[in-house]
Amino acid sequence: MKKTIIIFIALLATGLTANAQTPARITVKGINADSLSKVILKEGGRELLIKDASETLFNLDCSRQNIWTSLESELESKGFRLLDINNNLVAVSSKELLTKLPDRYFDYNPGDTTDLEYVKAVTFDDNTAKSENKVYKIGDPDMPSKGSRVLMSGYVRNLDSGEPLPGVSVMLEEPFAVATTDAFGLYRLTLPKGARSIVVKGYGMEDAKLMLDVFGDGMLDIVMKDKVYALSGVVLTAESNLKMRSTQMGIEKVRIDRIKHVPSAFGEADVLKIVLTLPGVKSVGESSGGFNVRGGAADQNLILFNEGTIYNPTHLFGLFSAFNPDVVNDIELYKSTIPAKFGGRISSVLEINSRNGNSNKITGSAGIGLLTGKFHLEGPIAKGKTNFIAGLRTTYSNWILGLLPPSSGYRDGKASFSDMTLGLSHKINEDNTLYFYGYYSGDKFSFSRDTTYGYRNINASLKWRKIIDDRRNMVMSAGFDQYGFNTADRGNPVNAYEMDFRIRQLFYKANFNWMVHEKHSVNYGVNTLLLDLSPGNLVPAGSESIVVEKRIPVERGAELSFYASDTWTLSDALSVDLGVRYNLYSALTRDSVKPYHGPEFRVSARYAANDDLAFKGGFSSMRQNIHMLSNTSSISPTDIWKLSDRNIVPQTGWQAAAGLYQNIMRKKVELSLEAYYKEMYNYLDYKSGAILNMNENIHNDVLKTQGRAYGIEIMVRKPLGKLNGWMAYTYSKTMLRESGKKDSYNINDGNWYPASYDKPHDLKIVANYKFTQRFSVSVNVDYATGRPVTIPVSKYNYGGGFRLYYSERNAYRIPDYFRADIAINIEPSHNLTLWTHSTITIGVYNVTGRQNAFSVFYTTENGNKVQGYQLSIFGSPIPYINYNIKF
Amino acid sequence: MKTYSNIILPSLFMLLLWGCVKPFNPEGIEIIDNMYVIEGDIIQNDTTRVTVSRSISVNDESKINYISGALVWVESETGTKYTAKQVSSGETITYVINTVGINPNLKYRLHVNIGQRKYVSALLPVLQAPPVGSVGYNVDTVKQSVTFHVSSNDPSGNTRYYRWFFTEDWEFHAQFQAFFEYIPATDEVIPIPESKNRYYCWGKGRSSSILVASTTGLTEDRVHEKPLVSMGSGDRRISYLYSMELNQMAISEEAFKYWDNIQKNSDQLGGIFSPQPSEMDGNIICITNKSEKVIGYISAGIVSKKRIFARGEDIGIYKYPNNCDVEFVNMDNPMNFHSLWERGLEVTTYTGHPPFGESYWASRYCVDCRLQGTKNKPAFWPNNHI
Repeated sequence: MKKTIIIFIALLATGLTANAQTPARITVKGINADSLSKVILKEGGRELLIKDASETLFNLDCSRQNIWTSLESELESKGFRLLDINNNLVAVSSKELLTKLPDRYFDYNPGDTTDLEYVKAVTFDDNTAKSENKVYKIGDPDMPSKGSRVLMSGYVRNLDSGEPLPGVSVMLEEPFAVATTDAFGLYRLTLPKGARSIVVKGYGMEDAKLMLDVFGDGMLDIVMKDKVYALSGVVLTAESNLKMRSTQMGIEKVRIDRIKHVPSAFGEADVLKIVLTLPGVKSVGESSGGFNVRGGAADQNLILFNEGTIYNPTHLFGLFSAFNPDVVNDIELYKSTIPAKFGGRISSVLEINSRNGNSNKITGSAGIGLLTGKFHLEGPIAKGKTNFIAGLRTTYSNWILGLLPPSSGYRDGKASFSDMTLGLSHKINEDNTLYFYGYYSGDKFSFSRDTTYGYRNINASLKWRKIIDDRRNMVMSAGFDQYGFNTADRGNPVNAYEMDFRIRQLFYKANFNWMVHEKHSVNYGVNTLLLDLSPGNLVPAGSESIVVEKRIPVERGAELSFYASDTWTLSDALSVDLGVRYNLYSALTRDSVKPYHGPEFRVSARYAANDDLAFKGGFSSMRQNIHMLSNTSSISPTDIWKLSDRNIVPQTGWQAAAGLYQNIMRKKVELSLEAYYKEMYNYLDYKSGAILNMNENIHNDVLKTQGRAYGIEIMVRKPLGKLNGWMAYTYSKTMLRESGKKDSYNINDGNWYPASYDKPHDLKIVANYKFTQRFSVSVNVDYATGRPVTIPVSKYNYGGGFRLYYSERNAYRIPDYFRADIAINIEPSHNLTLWTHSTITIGVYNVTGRQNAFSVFYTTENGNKVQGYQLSIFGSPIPYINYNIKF
Repeated sequence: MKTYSNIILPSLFMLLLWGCVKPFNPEGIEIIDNMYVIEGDIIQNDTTRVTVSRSISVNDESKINYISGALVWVESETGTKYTAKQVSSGETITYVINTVGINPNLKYRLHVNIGQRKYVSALLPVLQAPPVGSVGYNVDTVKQSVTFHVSSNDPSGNTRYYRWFFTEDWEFHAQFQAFFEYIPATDEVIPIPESKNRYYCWGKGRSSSILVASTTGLTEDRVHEKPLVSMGSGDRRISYLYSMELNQMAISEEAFKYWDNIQKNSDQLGGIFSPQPSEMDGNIICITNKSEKVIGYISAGIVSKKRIFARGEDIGIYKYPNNCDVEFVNMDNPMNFHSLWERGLEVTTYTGHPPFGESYWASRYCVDCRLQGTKNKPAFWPNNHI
């Protein structure tokens, strides 16, 4: 791994005054990079950052007027290029990045030294833009296009790593138009001909402004630079623009940088826990992996990691998410209008994308945490063509189980987990790129000496991306997903058994993007899914066991969906997104074949009253052909899944939502308000005493349940400034009702009852205050109404002891949940002579030490006293230190 | 992308107070009480004992609310009635029906009338329990506990669902044997005749857990070492001689599900992945008010029994509590007998009052076993202790 010296002088303001005073000539000889920077700061009033110049010595002999041209040629002669990015001068080794200098470079008139245009930028290629002072020509000036508007497209990449940057907004200022880069960093923007300026904004990146001279359709690749102080600063400009401009609503996107700075238990960055800080998302319980989105059940969320479906996204019964934060790029949660290209679950889609890997050099990281050790490596295999990224994480977490309370029952346990991620991308040519993704996560644990559990996810997929022409591109992917678990209980040799469950699926997806017209952007495609589910095999373990070997027949199913959607820009102010998806499904197992099919509608509209006020509305309906069988309130590693068949009908649901988005206080603060109403049908509940595992007649034990949910989400976000972060308040209700026949109700006599994740009041605060550039404090607050529980309301003597008689389902609530976490981020030094750049995060999880109830249980004491207890998992403040070195 | 190295240092972690459990007393609970609870199985080879009680509030620490004056009878499918007689012993009210020798090929049902309310069970076949295979115990020397278990099998494979209940008796003795007794009124010490010793005592009890098992997933109808009761090293029951009489019943699948559900509701909740509790209907209904909730599941059967004895020294884990207050009184320690007695001590050995005699005193509960048991020796007890 290569060392990079980062020299940084953080004195932005002083330079301007220095400019006006001094006379005459600058002469220095044989000075090092450090000194040169000081000279330039003194004489030119600009800070200069020189990378990779450990040995090089520089000379400068020029007048004050032509300091910039002289500096540039001097750097050039020593093998450096000078870049001007957002008022920072950066000199980079040209050996590394620069393939050729543009011919125009030396033709540029250096005498033009107005205040702003004293430095020319150097580009990687003719069609790559990063200078703010240059005017880029789009299209052929000699052959201007006939129409008044043209199409400009290109990629946005990271300057250092060459990785494509998704989610970057490319905005035309006048007349307003915006395009957002897709997962591959590609944007398409239509704009009128003539002199234009565009602003490029991306999360964690320096904003850039580019001058264009537009003649006709053309390409422009844009390179952006990391924010130098991308420490814990919450920079959400790109996201905010997205919220105002996109037609869709209820989308939450979080970049990994943000995730890494939210205080967490054990100091482990957790990509799923951040989702829980977003409005409308509720945790099933502390230390449990499930989450509920707008009143949906935990199994109604589709979790996609690089296209593959992850059935169990957690490690250690939910303490951690199963994704290595060093490999993840961003996560995106669709909780309201779900794009037509997604389907299969009725509540939400959580998309997690890994990075593509550095395309310039091999880099990596290694880390040791309280519980995990991790390692990742990325870089080019063939420069400019093939990149890879690979991550590995494993644990030595056995000790943590010894710390669990004895009443949890897991104290004698052992637990281990690991996960591996691999990403490969290969650029065949300008228009064709192939991607391969592989993922494995596995957990193994034993609660006692005789009982063992294990589960694993395996995913592999291949993706082909083709740019068909200027206006069309295509992404095709095919892959394999598998999830399975096995349990064994050898406590009693005669009854010893092993049981396993497995689901696997093959998928093929094709998605076409077609910018039909500047006002119509069409997306269409097909998804197919073949499912193969083994509900359970029970086999005797050991020679003494007399357990009957039982194999429940494999269930198979196939799903085919077609979809099309059109983003229709009626005017600058009004745009609509019209989508439809048709889903066909059938179980394929003999005796249970039954086709189901139906349309799904995804409609949304946006009206922007002005730049700072937008209204949106949407409706989406969804179908789900797979059900998780679980009668516990949290996701357990032994929950099995079931395909819809002749007896079990697919789940369906719809949601209508409306929202208002406003920028206030001169765009410094964003306000959003969303309200929704949602209905769900054919959700599964269970009869008393239902046996879910190894039951071939499970349909006799399930109860169809319907649900309705509504709520209002208010969010205030301040993306920038000394104080930044967000505050979200949600009021919501989620009610369920058994939809069976009259007279045979099993649960609450067929009346509505609150779902176990119904938490009406919910307040979340994620805030960061920057005292200085080196010192900031992050605070995380989470308050929610206690979840409903079923508790005993009476007791009676039976079978020699007192037994409990329970209330109607979910008639009571556990105490309210409150937790505050705090983290202090310190950057000890930016000393020029240090070659490492370190940051320290000191944090406390649950700083108030509140003992939040995770669950309640009752025990009979002294023969006739029944006492209720609440179990808290993190019942005390948990401090941690996190030390990072960047070199 | 820059190169990162990430080292998360374990901080000075005070992990001792990791998770915790504290009492939970929710407010505003609408108590459902006064539901009738009817318990009792129709037993062909023994007396049928039925109890009728009412449910009480969760926080009510009083004893069982037994109902007296009910009319209880067993009726065969042919209409023969076997009426019960109310028997009170202490606070317990039992309705006793002589069902010994009823025709096992007929079906029976239980009737209970409480005032105007009439309750009736389903019509039940008499299920024959297979003989109890063996009752044994395993000692866990690490946890210092002993678990008694039962193994049974039905070669015919017809039983499949088992239920057990047991009565237990145990003999124990005081930590110190007192050969003398102090009479505070007269400040005298008099010998205790062996027939009135306070050294050997007996206790009795019955199973308090729900004990059911199913063998449906097994190739043989065999129950292997189903745990019945566990005792720790401080449990007096295993100090000297323990006896258990185990009753085994064959029950129906529905009965098994019912008992299993009660057991889950009572014992298995509160874990991280525990199922949500739910109530299941029994097989007894109120025919005068169909919507009235009544608790109970009645079975009919021929029980099999087995009695075992286990010697405390064989189990070998019992430890006497180390909390006896003892005094040796002689001329060097001439303590006043009356004040020792007031301190809660009793004399065990005695040669005379000080200064000439010596005596040994120990806490009353270490000397007088009647504080923890009775002198009611079971008739079947296999030794000659008095």
